[in-house]
Amino acid sequence: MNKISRILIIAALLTMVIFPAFAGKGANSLTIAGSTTVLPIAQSCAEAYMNAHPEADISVRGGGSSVGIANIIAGTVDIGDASRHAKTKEIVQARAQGVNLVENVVANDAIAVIVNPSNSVSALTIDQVKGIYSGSISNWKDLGGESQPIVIVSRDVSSGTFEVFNEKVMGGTQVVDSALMLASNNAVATTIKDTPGAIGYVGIGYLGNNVKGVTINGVMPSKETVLNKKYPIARTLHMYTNGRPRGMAKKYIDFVLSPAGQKLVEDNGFIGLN
Amino acid sequence: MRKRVIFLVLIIMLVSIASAETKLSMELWNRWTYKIVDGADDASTNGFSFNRGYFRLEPVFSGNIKGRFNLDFFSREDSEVEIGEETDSISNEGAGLKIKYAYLDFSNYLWKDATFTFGLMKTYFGTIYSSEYETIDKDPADKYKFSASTDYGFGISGYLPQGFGTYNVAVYNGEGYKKTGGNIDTNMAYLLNLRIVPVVGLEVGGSYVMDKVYNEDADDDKEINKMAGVARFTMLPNLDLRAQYLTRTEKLGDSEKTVNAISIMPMINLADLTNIDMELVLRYDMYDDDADLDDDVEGSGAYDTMIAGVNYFMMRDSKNAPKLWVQANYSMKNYKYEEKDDESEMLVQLRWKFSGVID
Repeated sequence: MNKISRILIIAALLTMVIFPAFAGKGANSLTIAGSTTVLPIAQSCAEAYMNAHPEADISVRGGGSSVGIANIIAGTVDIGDASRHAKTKEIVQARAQGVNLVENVVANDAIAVIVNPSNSVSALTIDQVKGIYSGSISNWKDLGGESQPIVIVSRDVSSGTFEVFNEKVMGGTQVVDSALMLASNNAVATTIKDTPGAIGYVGIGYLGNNVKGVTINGVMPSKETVLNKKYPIARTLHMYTNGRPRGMAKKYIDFVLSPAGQKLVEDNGFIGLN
Repeated sequence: MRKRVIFLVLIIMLVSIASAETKLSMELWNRWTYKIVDGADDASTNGFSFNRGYFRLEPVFSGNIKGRFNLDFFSREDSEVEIGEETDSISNEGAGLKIKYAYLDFSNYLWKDATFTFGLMKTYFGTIYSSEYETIDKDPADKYKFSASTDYGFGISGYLPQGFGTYNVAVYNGEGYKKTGGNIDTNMAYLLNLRIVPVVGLEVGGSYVMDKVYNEDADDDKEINKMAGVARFTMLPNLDLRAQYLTRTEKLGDSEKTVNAISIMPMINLADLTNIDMELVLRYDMYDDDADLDDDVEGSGAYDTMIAGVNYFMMRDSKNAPKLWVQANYSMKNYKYEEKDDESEMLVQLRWKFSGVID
């Protein structure tokens, strides 16, 4: 190796170490990605914010909670939406990569267990739901309904909704192989609507006229039962940032947390923080 | 070859049937290599190769049990040859196969966030288990033969509270994934590995391996102790600075030999600065094959390697992991013994990766 080559390499090495790296994003632009559960909140708040602030440029996309947190760690989004808490693995990975994951709670939610409106069953217990999803209960007649096979619909294993359901209902027990694993709340609700013997679970914001929510341990998911902690499959919804929100991310999250933003949360069927 | 293919097909069928969900992925490396020794008129190597590829199955049996099966394949007989190492050809000897991973993870059975792993698994030494081949050259622990990237054994991995780090404890054969059955020494290797992230953007830690290998000539066990110290600094935006110190001591009777290596690797991400998804990588390695021998005398195998590289990412997946990218590296190998000619090498590599899930 000649001396000039060596000097050039060392100079380049030093330049890289002391090089001040500046980010060049626009001050009014904001990128959000992640949970499909949080997606309607993020979208409606983005639209309302941009209507009030025409200079703002907010892009929102889904992908799932894992995608939201992975993108915050990678630095490719400003806000990562998640319907679960960050895992220890993600926290360690973020810290090692210089990212301080800060969880901003923006709403409350319940995971509602839903069935087709034609189904006569209206009440289940956590143990019964676990029995259905683990395969030990396979016909509605065993639960007081008509004799028809249960069609199990679940979220894909990378979704935050699945993680919370798995923790609070399944306790780590495997979901039966025959379950349909769908990629979004919307896909689950649509499948339940179209399949008479089906059971699924969605964020409370996706409860509507086309599907029927059932009580769990005698409690129907609602604002009241979530806030008083009586409904057993409740959770908080989050917008993760790298460090405390700053700039455009802070303005946007402040808006989500404002009375106007919290009204949008409730308009979308979720439960506000207060 | 036919038996291997049948074996692979059987594995795929069994895994797909038995698991709730299986992720399939493949990654392939197409490479051009140009190597020249200082003072030579012609290149000693100038050619294309399919340097490495793998087919990976990751079955998820339940929320707590998952596995990984990795079949590596390559078109070069000498695909394991190091940069700068003498090789007489890059001729295509046909496809080679080797099993790189075959393990099961059992999570949260022992305690929260702890994973018990059994099978042909990662070796948690230095940075060999977390390397993403940021340079085309291998991780220093692998390159300088401190450790094989995978080995047969079992171990426990987990996280320190509050995300302050990770730990690994493992027992291995100690001889890497290439040796099995009657070829392996009966002594086990014991590994401890710890990473601490005391503050956001700073990671420090180390690994220790204690091993013994029976030496037939001496009719005694050779004691092998390996240590790695690692540090990673990511506090400045877009800069990722990694450093590693490796040492291996081999003791047989009264004789003792120590091998050392140091590697420093800064990387700068240009995406924010230029809107081009690209990173610059520099790596400086110092390798001393015998710490008790002067580096500049005949017989010394000590050398430095400088690598300057660019990684250009053409496509990424939804989690920002690269799917299609080009790596270009220029490396210079400088022997400490002045009479030995230095070597330069240019490598350009196209890597592409794809995956899917079967339910």
